Amino acid sequence: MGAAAPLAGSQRLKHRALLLAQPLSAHLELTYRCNWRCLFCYNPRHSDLRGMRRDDWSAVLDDLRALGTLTVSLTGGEPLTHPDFLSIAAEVRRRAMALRILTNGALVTETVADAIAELGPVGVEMSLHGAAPMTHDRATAVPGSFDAMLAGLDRLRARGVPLLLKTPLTRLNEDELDGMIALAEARGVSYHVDPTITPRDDGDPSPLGYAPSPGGLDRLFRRLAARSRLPAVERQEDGVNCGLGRVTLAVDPEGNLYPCLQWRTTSLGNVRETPLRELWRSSPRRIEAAEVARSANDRLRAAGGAVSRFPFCPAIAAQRTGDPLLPDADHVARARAADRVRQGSA
Amino acid sequence: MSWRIDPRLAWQLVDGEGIVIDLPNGKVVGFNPVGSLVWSLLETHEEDAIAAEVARRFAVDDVEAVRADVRAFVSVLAERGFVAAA
Repeated sequence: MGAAAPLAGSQRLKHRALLLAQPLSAHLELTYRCNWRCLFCYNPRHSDLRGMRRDDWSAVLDDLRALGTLTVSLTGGEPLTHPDFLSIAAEVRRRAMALRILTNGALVTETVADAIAELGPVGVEMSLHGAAPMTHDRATAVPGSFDAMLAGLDRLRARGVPLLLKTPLTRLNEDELDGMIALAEARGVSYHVDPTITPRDDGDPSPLGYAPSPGGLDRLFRRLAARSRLPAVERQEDGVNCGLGRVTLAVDPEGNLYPCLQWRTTSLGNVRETPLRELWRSSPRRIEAAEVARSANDRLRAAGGAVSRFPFCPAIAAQRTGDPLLPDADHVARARAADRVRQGSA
Repeated sequence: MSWRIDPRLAWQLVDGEGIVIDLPNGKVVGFNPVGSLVWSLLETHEEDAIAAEVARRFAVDDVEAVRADVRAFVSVLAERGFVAAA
């Protein structure tokens, strides 16, 4: 009968989800509250004006299951500051959806680590802002945050929880890239670096002042090229740029629904006023966003050059230029830097 | 014999076809339409009833052969820890 298909089968199903606008991946921002104050954070505030109740999140999870979501990522703010974090996470798993947790790790006590391990998450992702404690703590504006994060990481590692360390590359930590890679490798933890710093969600551009320098960017891309991990996109005819409005969605702490985590220019509506399922299926704004993903692919493919070969985020473009199809100058610079390294290492 | 899907798994249907994340190792497995039908009936039907439904939906005359295929497939699922006897 051959009913169990290989991995290629799952890729085919993911492609079909794109065509059907089935949101396989959902990010739920449980709260804006955070125990850190990262200098370049995209969140404009650290309190919830009208936070969702546990029942509201349960209704969201029911709708996600019905819409075909496979993976739910719980994030914030710092999601562990939400009083119902563990019960909401358990509700994700009870609905047979995969659980991903995006946390700074500082609140992962022995008890919390036990509870997270019991939930069987597909991954827990934590931010590393430097190889030296002083660099990390400067970025988070919280003394002791480096040690607290590593203690939480090690508690989960001891319990066999799959972990990913992530670094937003900044001017503050770009000289410690090798040290951060070594730190992750020494612990046997997967590691990812993102060189994109964005304005705050309310448009405040101050985080951009921490964006990595051209030299820092070049060093990062050379390291990635040496590991055959330089960001690259092969644009297909009739393809889409990304899962915007098709396979991704996000709900903020107050119930506003977005077609991806990054997209904040227009909400599809509020899940406390209209069920998520209904908003996703009927919102013209979702369809518009999905079309943006198609148009972005078409336009970049036609343009060719370095920008066409580099991963592009329409949400960031909308935030930076006012046009989701128009890459901002920093994006163009990153794409060209990656291309120079690609050609140099070819 | 009836079966229970391992609660540690995450799974969904995409256009009627199954996709499963094996959470302990994060591997993703897709099922073809026949496998997806078997998967969707596992917790509520006995193997013979599943075979009959597969034969009906896919217009197969040899129900005995389908029954053997269903048993083999469920054995693979059990070996991988995706299901256990209820």
